[in-house]
Amino acid sequence: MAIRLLHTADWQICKRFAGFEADAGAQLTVQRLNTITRIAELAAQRGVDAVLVAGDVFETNAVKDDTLRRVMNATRAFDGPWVLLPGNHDPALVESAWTRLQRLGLPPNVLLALDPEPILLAGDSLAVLPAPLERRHEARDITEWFNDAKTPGHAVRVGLAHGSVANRLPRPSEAPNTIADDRSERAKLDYLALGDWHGTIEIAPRTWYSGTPEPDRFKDNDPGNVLLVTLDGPGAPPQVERVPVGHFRWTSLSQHIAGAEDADALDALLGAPPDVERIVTELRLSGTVDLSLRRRIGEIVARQSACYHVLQTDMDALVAEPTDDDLDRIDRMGFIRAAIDELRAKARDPADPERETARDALQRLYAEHLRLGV
Amino acid sequence: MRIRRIEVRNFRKLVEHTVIAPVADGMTIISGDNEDGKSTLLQAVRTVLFDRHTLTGNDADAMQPFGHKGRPEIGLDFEIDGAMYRLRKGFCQKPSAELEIPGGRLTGMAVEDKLQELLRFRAPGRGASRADEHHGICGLFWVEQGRAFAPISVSADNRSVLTGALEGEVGQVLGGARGRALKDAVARHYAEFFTRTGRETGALAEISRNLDELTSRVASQREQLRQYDARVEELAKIRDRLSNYRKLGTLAKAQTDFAEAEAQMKELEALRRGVTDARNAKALADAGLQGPAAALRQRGEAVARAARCTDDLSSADAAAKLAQAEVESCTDALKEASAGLQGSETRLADSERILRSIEREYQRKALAEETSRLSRLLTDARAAEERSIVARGKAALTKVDANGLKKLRSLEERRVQAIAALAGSSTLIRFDLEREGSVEVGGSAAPRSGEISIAEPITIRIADVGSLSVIPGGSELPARREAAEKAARDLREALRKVDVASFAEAETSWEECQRHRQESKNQADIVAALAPEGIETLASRVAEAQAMLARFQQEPESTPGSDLDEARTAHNMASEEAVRLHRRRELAQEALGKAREQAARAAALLQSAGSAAAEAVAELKSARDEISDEELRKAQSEAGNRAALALAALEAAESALCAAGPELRELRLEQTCDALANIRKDIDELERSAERVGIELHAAGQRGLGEELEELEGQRTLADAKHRSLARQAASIKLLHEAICRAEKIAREAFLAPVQSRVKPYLGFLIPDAELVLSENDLAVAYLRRGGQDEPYESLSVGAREQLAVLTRLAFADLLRERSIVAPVILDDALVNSDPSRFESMLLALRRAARELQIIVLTCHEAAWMQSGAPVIRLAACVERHS
Repeated sequence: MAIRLLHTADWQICKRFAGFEADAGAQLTVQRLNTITRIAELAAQRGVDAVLVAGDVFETNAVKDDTLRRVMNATRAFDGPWVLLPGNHDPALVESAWTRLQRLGLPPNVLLALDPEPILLAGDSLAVLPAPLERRHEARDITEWFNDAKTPGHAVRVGLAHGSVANRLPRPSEAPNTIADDRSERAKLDYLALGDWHGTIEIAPRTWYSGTPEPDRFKDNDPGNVLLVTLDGPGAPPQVERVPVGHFRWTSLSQHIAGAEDADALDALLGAPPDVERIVTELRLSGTVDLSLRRRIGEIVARQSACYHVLQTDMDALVAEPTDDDLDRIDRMGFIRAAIDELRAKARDPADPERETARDALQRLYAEHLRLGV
Repeated sequence: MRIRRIEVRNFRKLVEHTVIAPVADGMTIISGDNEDGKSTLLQAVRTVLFDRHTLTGNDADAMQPFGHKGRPEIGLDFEIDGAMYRLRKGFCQKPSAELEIPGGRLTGMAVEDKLQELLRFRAPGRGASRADEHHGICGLFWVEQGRAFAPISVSADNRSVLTGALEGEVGQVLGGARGRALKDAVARHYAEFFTRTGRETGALAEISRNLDELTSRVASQREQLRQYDARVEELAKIRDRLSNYRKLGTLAKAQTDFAEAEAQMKELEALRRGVTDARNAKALADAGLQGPAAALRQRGEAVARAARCTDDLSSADAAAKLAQAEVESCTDALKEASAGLQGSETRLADSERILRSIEREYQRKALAEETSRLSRLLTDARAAEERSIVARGKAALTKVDANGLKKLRSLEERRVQAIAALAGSSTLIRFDLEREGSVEVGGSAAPRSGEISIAEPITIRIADVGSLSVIPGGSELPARREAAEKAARDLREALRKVDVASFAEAETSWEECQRHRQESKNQADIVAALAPEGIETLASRVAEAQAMLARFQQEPESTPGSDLDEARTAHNMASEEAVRLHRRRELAQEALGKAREQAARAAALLQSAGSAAAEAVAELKSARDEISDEELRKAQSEAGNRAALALAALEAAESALCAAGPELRELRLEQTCDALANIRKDIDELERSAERVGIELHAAGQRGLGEELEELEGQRTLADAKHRSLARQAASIKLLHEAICRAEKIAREAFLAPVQSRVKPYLGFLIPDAELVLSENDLAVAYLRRGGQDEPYESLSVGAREQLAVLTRLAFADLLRERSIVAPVILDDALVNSDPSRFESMLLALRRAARELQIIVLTCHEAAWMQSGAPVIRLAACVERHS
């Protein structure tokens, strides 16, 4: 009998998004709960035997009771077993989100993997071997017990853990909780479902990170998926299907501006991609422009950002250098001109600590000049 | 414009036709007393130039002199750029205007239009003109009475004119309207971020406050979360410890250890009871041993006591015999001493009798002498007392006393004064007869020459010549005569009462009385000296002495010629011998007493020792009769054996107890008991702590501290980003604002340089090395800079302010004159607050300005202004009065 699993991880419910406008950030937070609902619907639709959540269900153990209840509500669409594993964000401490969930009362199909012992599901055809983190950082490999875990001979062995697979990840992960990269072989696992890395990746044979189902950062590592895993029997290779479930798409853009044509290109780059209202973008601009072009770029960004859910623009590297014509347009004589000359001298002096401020000041004066009309 | 002639009639104070002419270039002084109309004259010039001739209402009515209804008329001849103009206006009734211009003549409103064109002023919409708004550049240069010290108010029009003149000289450094608009816009943005003092305000201050608050809340929330995590950690440790107790079975082991220790303690208690029993048995055996031992000891003591009492009896007998021998010896010594004392007492009685006899003789002689002395004193005292009584009696015969004499003296003085007054009014007649013959005055003979004072009619008869009747006149004479007679009568009456004939006699009688009184006092003093206790006491003492003397004389005569000193020496020697022998007999008596006491005590001791010895021997015999010494020794031996056995049993029991290790067992019991209690207590406390911390964590967990922190940190990060953005904007605006202000200040200083350069020479007359700083905004005087200090204009004295204001006007006038904008400077009673020194300096400054400017000074201080050397026009002399 083939076993079908839905592997997901790193929900990090109640994660906040600092640096965004309040409404935009709040929607990102709320959306993570909506994504759980979609996962439940997907699990029900595909008729999986179990949903395995490989840690970091919550951003922190200290979440509100209301948040705990909302998460349980979000799982309702799938009445099969949910196995929830504590991660480094929500370790199984003596008092934790898990103990509080137990006190609040769990739905009968929601199983908390708080102890390192096999959980038999699907009529004992599926043996889930959990490695719960009992503290934020574990120095030892807590999946080691998988090697000697006794499970029924006909059951597929699926490991469930949260941490970094040694020597395999492209970049260091958040926490050191190391997992041996040959764990699936040594423990004779048919599949090792991991959490902690937010992108979807097969990190070792039979070993997968599902990634976070709802993207939460500007990293191009393929987040926003869950994995549908089919295990035909003990020893059979896993069939893994990557299913996108994320609502928001996070992208990073950069553009160098050297002249008016680059401003046109920027306008085109930002111009209305599909589902633009679901896009969270960071835009980095660089280059040196005159004051009039700088003003135009500001207008483009302001206009386009209204379309995006978030368009976060970094123009620190875009230097506004006024030309003589710019300055002459403001004033050719009189004390305003004298002030302009003083500010331009500061803006051009690399040693002047107020160099950037002087540039801003000239831009500001230029804007006032335009506002007054020529 | 230069003024050449002023004519006024029926205008306010200037009712009569008044003509001021000619008015030359340079400085002209127009002087007049108060109320002459100097200020009216200036007002007339303002009115004719800047008020429409059609002016009506209160402003027109105000032109008419008080109590007159004449038509106000003003004429002004003036010159502009070498061309002459003749202006005439009439107001109120029949208003008219006429202006003669080069090559023509204008009337009516054309005159007003032409004046505006010539003088570049803006006429008021309606009503009278105001100097600071409608008089053009003249409003700046014409200073009214009492306003010279006020800050120069430069109207917008005049500022425009002045600015034009300045920009013509230094160029458009101020940047024009666009520059000001940009500056204002930047200033508005600056004000959105900063207050005038540079503190943050508006959105920037709000976001700063918000950021601070959020930072504080985040810190607080983090701390709460840290405490929450710490409590979780604490709970984990508690549960670990409880788990360890369970795993190790610590409590059960402690309970087992305690039970074993209790069993061992029960064994120990049995051994202790064995020791106690043995100890009791030994005590009983020891008690049995004590009875025979005590009896044997008492027997020995009785034997010793009997022997000791026998010895004591022998010693007492010997002592009694010795004491009796001593009594007999002392009795013999007493007899011998008594015999010696008796002989000595006989000799002492003889010597005393002789001594007493001699002493009585000496006393009798002394008494006889004393009796004689007292008798003399008594005799003298009685004689003195008698003399005192006689003198006092003589004094008492005199009727004149001190008050009476004082009264008589007063009457005598009044009499003498009355006679003197009478004599003063009397007629004095001096006569000296050359021929022999008798003279009778008032019937009594008188010498041939002399003078008489006549107070009453009198007749003087001269032999062979006839008689001369003199009747003294004078109105006061009768009264004075009456007064003299009354005074004489009063005196006589008083003298009669004290039985004397005259005042001199009264004085003599008073002196006699005084002398007798003094004599009486002197004799009384003698009596007091002779008999201080009184004569009677003295007489008593004399009688007593005489009686005592009589008694002595009745006693037998003593042995004549006996020497008192020899008798006393013999008596003393007999007395000393008697004392010595008496003492000897006392010592003998004392020794006898002691010997007798000693003998009595020895006898008593002998008796007591005899009784004690008999009693001890009897007692010993009785005891031996009851139980023999041998029997006692046997009983003691048997009891000793029993005690030795009991001691051996006790030592065996104690040894067994010691071998059981009682302290160890006790310690172990204590230890296991405490350990069990501690473990139970610790487990109880841990369970309670776990429950308490669990409840706390449960309560705190519901709040979702971490979730709240996430939310707060999100808000703080957003606020921080906004703050950085706003702060960057604010910094750029601040830098821009400061740069513009700095540049504008420099530009304004450059802009005002022409005025500064023109005012400097004038100021040099007044305050050398000082500099006048004008306001960059309104061209008014802002500071006087001297000695490196900027003194605000308002802080200067009134005198200094009016001087600086006048000098600034001269500088403005110079500047405009060079731009062909010419107007006279008119000062109405300016510089009234200047001290003489400053006034002189100002005259020099005005004289310098007057080289190019027309300056008209209206003043009531003609003498002071005469020093200026300028021509003086007296207002009173300019009035053309109708006959």
